[in-house]
Amino acid sequence: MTWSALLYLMRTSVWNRFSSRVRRAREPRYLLALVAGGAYMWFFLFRNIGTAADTGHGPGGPFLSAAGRLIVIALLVLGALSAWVFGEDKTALAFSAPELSLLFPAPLSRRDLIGYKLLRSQIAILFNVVIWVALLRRGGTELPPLLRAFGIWVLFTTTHLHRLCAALVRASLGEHGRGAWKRHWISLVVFGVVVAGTAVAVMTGIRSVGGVHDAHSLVTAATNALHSGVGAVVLWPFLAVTGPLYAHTTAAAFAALPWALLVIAIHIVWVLTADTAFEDAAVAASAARAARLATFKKGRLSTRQAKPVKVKGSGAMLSPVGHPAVAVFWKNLLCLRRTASLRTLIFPLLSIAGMSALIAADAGGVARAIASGCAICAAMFIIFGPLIARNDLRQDMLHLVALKTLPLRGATIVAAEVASSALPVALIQWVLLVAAGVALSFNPLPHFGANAISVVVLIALPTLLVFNILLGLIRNGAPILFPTWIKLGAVVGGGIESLGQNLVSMGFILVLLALMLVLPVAVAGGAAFVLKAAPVAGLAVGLLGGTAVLGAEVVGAVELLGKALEKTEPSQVPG
Amino acid sequence: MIVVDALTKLYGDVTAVRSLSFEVAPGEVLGLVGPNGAGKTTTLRCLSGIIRPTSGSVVIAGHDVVQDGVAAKRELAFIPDEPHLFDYLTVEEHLRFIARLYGVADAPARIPALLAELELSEKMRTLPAELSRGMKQKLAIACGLLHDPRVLILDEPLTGLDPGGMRRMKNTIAERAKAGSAVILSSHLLNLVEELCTKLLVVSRGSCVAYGTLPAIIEARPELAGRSLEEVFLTLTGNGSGE
Repeated sequence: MTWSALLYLMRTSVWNRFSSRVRRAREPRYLLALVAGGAYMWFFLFRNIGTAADTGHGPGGPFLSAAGRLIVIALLVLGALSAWVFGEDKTALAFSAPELSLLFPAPLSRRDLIGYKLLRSQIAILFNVVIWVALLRRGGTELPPLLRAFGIWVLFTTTHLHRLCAALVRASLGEHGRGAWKRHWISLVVFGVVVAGTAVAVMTGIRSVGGVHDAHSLVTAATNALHSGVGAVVLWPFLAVTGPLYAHTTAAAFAALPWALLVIAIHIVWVLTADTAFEDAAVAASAARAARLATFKKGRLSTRQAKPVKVKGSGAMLSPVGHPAVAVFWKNLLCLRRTASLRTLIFPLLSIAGMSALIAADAGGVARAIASGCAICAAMFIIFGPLIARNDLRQDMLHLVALKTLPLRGATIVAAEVASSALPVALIQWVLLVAAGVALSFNPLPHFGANAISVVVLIALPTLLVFNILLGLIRNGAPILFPTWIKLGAVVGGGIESLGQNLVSMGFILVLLALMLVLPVAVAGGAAFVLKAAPVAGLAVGLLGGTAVLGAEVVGAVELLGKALEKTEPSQVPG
Repeated sequence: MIVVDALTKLYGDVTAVRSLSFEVAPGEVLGLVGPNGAGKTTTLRCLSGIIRPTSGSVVIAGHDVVQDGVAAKRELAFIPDEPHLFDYLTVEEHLRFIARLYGVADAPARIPALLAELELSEKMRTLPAELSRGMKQKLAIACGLLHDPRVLILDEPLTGLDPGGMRRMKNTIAERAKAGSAVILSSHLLNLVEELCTKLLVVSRGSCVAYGTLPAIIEARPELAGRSLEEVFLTLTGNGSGE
C-alpha cells in the first residue's frame, strides 16, 4: 500500500511535469525556447552519438582512458573522504518542502522514506547519464553508447548511495553521540581501514613512480600500483564501480558489471538497514537546499547556499526630502553593497594580470602592457559588470507589486533602476581607462598621443555611462516587454526549455544592442571621417556625437519602457 | 475620497471583476468580503494602481488612478496580504526609503515612534529574511502608515499578527478612519469586518451582490433579518442556506 502510493506520487509527478511542458509548448514562447534548447543540445552534444566519430580510440585513446580512470578514482576517494570527514554534502538528506510536510508526518517508516528518496534520485541520475554519455563521447572508449551509459549510471548511483550512507551515519552520530558508535561500528571500521589502506597505497604508488619522467609511464606505474598490493584490496570498490565505464571492450565491460552491481547492492542494503533517526538532519538539509535554490532563483551566479547577508552601514543617509527617484537609486546601491562579492572580480583581475604579462613579454614595454591590461579589463566589464551588478529591475521585477505602488512614473522607476547598476559599472570601467591612459602616456602609441589619450579619458565617462545605461535598458527591457519570455526566477524550471530560453534572451539582447548602436556608430564614424585632417578633434567630436545620439536613444527607450512598466501586471511576471 | 465607477477587469476571456461601483467617504471603513476567487484582490489592486482596469474608473482623493496615477498613489497606502519587502533593506532603511518616496520631512522623528508602536525597535537593523511572518507584516504596515495616507487599502491585514498586534492593528484602522482617512478592508474574518466596517461590499464571481450598511442590506433582503453576519454572507454569496 505504502509503496504503491509513493510510486503513484513519482509516476504522476513525472508524467504531469512532462505533459505540462508539452501543453506549454503550444505557446510560441515556450516552443521557441524548446526548439532553441533542443537544437543546441543536438548540435553540441548528441549529433555524433552512435556515428563513427563517436566511438573508437583517438590518438592516445588507451592512455587517456587510463588517466581518466585514475582521475575519477582520485575524485571518488576525495569525495568520499569529504563526505565522511567534513560532511560537506549537507544536502544528501534533503527532501523538498512538500515531501517534508506531507511524507514525514505520514505513516511511513524511515526505510520507506529513504527508499523513496533513492528511487526518486534515479530520475536526476538518468538525466545526467544522458548528458554525460554525450559529453564523454571522445573519452577514449570503444564501448557502444548503451554500455557507456550503464557505466556512468553505475558511477553516479554508487556515488549517490555512498553520500547518503555517509550522511545517515553522520546524522546518527550527531543525534546520538557515543551511542551511535556502537550501532555504526562496522561502517566506521571499514571507513578507517579504507583511509589507512588508501594512505599506504598512495605512499607505495608515489615510491613506485618516483623515477618516472614521462606522462605515459607515470599513468602506467600508477595504474599498476592501483591494481596490486594494498591498493588493490582497499580501493577495490572504486575499481569495481569504474570498471564498466573504463573497460576497453564490450566483453570486458560485461565482465566488470557483476562486481559493480555487487557494490551497488551492498550500498542499497547498507542504506535501507541503517534505520537512522535522520529527520532532524533531513529538515536542516532541506532548509539548506531551499536556501540554495532561492539564491539561484534570485539570479546570482552561484547556486552555493547564500551566507547570511551582513548589514553593513547604509553609508550616505537618505534625506527624507528631495527627488523620490533617488530613493530607488539609494535602495539599489545598498543592495549592490550587500550582495556584490569581490570573489566575482577575481577572474577579471587575474585576466588583466595575465594579459599584461603576456603583452609585457612582447616589445611593447611595461607601460603598454599595463595600459592594454586595463583596457581589456574595462572591456571585460561589459560582460561581467551586468552579472555582478544585478541591482536593477532584474531583481525588482520580482517585487512588482511593491514597485507599482510607488508614487513614481514608470519612466522614473526605469531610469533609477537602470542607473543603479549602470553607474557603478561605468565608474569602474572609467577608472580602468584612466589607469590605461596614465600608463600609455609614459609610452604613447605612434598615432595616439597625449592629446588623443586626454580626449578619450575625458569623454569616456559620459560615453561609458550612456552605453551602460543602454545595455541595462536592453537587459531590463526584456523582462518588462516580454515578462514571460525572460528568466527572472524559476520560470520554466531547468532542462532544455530553460537552456533555450537563455539562448533566446541572449540573441534578443545582442540583436537589439547591434541595432541601437548602428546610428551612434555611424555618427561617430562620420564625424571622424569629416575631420580626418584633425584626428584629435575628429575623435572628440565623433565620441561626443555618438554619445549624444546614444543618449537620445536612451531617453526614448526609458520613456517607452516606463510606459510598458506601467502596463505590466504582476500576474504576467513569473517567479 | 474613493469613487469607483463601473470597474471591470478582464483576464483574456475571464471576467475577474464585473462593473463594480461604490464610494468610500472620509471616515468610512468599507468591508470588502467575498469567497475565494471573488475578485477582491483584483479590485484592491485596481484601486491601488497596481493593475489597470479594463474599463470603468477609479478616483482616489480626486485623482484618477489611470490618468494621474502618481498623484493618486501619493494619497494612498496599500497593505497587501503578503508583505512585499526588499530583500536587502533593513527595517529602518525600508522606512527611510518610503519617507523619501513620499517626502515625509519629519520622518526622522516619526520612524522611532512608529517602530516602537509596532514593537520593531529592536529589529531596526535587521533584514526581512531574518524577520518572522508577523514582523514582516508589521513592517509592511509601518511602511503604509508612515506617510499618513488619506486612503488606506488593506488586504487581510491581520494575517500573521499575534493577538496583541491584531488588537493594535484594529485600533490603528479605527483611529485612521476617525482622523478622516477612507479605509477599504478586505478580510475573511467576518468578526473583524463587523467590528470595524461602517459599510459592506459583498462580491461573488466578480460582481457586487450587496452594498451598503449592514442594516440597509438586511432591509433590502428581509429574509436575512436576525441572522449573524456569517449567515448573511453565506446566503448572499450562495455558499450556504444560511440556516
